[in-house]
Amino acid sequence: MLFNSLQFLIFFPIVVALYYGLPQRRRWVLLLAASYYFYMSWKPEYVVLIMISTAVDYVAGRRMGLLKERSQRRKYLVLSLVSNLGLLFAFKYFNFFSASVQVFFDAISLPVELPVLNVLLPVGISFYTFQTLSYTIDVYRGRIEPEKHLGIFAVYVAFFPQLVAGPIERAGHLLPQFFDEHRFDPRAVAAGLKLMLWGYFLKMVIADRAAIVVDQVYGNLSSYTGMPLLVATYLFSFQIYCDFAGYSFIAIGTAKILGFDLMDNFRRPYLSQSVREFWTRWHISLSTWFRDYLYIPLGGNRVQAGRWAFNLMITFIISGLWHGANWTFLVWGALHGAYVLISHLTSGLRHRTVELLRLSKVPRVHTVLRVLFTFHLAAFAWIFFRAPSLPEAWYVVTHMFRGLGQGPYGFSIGGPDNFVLVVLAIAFMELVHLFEESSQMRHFLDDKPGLVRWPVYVTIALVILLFGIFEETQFIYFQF
Amino acid sequence: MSRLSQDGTRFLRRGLFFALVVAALLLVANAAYLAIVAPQSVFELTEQQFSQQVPDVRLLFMGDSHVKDGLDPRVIPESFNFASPGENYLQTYWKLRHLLEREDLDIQAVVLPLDLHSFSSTRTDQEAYYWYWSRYDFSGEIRRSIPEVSPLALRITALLPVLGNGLEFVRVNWRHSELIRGFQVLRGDFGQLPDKAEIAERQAAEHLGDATVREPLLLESFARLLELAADNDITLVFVRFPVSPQYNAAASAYIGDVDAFYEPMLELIEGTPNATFLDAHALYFESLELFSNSEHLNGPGAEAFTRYLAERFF
Repeated sequence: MLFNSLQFLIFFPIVVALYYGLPQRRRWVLLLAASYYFYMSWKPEYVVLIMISTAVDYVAGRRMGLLKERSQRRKYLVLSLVSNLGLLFAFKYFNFFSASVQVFFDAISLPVELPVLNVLLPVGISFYTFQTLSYTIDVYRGRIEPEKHLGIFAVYVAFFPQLVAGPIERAGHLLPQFFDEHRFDPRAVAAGLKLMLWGYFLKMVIADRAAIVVDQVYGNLSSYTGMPLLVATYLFSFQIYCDFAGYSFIAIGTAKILGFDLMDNFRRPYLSQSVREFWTRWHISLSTWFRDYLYIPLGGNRVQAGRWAFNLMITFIISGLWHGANWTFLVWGALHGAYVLISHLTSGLRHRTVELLRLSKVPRVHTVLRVLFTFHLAAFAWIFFRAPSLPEAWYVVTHMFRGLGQGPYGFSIGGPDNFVLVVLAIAFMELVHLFEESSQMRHFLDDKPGLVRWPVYVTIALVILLFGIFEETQFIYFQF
Repeated sequence: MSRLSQDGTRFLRRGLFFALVVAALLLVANAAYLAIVAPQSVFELTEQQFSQQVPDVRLLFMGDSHVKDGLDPRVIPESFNFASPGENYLQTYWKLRHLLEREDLDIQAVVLPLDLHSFSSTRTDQEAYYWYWSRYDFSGEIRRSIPEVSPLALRITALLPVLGNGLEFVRVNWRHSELIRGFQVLRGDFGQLPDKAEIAERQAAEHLGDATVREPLLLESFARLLELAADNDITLVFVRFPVSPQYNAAASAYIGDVDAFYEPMLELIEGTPNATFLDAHALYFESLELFSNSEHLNGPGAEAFTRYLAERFF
């Protein structure tokens, strides 16, 4: 079930009404049933995978809770890791692995035919396996107590607002909330609705309209050069943000209406002044996951420089591969790793350049330049994220500046009016972002009288209704 | 608890009021859409022109943009161009069925397209312009091509065409192409364009890229069209429309073996009385000035091709 579907608009109010109508001790039953229904409306049989993850990690957690020594707990951690990552490997990476090895075998003329699995990638498998893995790792580390209530643990794994595309929650943050008594709080519900409204605006007005241009160009790359490639690449940078952040806002808003507090997933990433900062603002729940469960266990930055570089690169590369089984994602991750590494290695040089150009005397100009530079680094990396294959990504890189003077064709793909609308909507979003850097827009509005607040909300709602795309387009991150 | 309930009630009341305000404004916008945009759409303008000419129509041109822009009814008496952009066989079938039920009409022949993209799954976007198509009442069959869209969603689409179509308010002033007896006169000269192959590739990709080239529902509708024509004693002329060599090459690449692609359809046509096929795709390979773009004829091209068709059949 998609957040931007009529089905969800009927499903969700029913769940909310039933939720607040039920006594606290019975609510988990409703949430579990609603979450499984939510997931099963896509492909019913794949709910079994969630159940397997839930059962294995519940048992592993309970067993680890009975053992005091880490060494004794380890086998249950391994059980959890093997089963969850095994599922992930089988459904998401097996064919990629098989195809890559096959290429190698063919290259050395080894007559071996490797099998290919004909399975559909289960929606959100990377999200819920990572969420449940964080639980078993935290239990193993003794940071949280194992959950005794199987039903509530099952809701933690399958909680529908964030089941298929995050935010990837931590057990220490989300699990206790299932025991809290959530009363119908008009303020929280209003806050949740506002977040959902903003999320729908990002998804349906910006992301889906930008997709009209991006899909046309990236779906048929060889017939474009110059401006269309450039325009599509810029638009994809905003499409991917608005698609994923839009989903996250709707997820967080949905949970908030039910009384739950989910972690922030995006904080205006395109206003970052460095790639390192970008990763503290983009897909925060995943970047902190990799930080806590991979980068730091590898030694983080408290090691020698060479080892640190290795830790950094391996974390970014695996983070790239998490997004999809394709070399393009690996390159995308590696590029970001290289950005951070190069930025670290050149910090002295950059500092001297700033002094030489006297940019430190004009901090605002310096800030704008840093933001623009960071955005362009991210946008360049998105080429590899969006292109279907490495040769096609390379085609974009090598052809995007060819024939730029041949007219404004890139702006008319999907209709010039569509392009103008997308640009205006992006400009509005970035204005809100700039404002939010210094003040919380929503809080700012909350202090204003209804005569100011209502027209803003009504206008956004109408813009979504009149200019949004209503074709129930999937969220990009569902495929991960 | 009672204080919370009061807060909650007040909140719900306000929420309801907010929803009513948004709904009221949406209805106003929808009314404006129906009054300003819809009558100016090529669909409605065609219907209006058709209703003015109704008793005198014997020959219909039906199908998609290749027909809409490619057949000029001024060349053949008692003909009308009832095609519409993006129209597929399912839509054509239901439209023709409704027309045949009318007692004030005596349709004797219909010209239809049989192009490389005619069965492409890109043709089955039944939600687009559903506000128009809903009048032909085939929602039950539409569900077969878009099972993920609920009947309620389709109903809403039909009743509130303004949803997601706000840009149409801007576009309504941009339409400059003439519409004469349903025929849309395109300008432009493809022969003058420098990047013909690239344009052709893009246009072919729009129709056939990432698509099933023989969508079962459209094949079935094609067969039903033949049955409908046979039952009503109507002559059907299927036409593979003239295209540029660049477009033909690009589209053929998606199809593969073009002869094998056409074979089952041609067998069905041969087995139907009064049905025939004209392959004119290469007719103007050397006359690119007759095209508006790589696949659509312009005004002079349409006139020339309609004369060519008339000499052979009408």
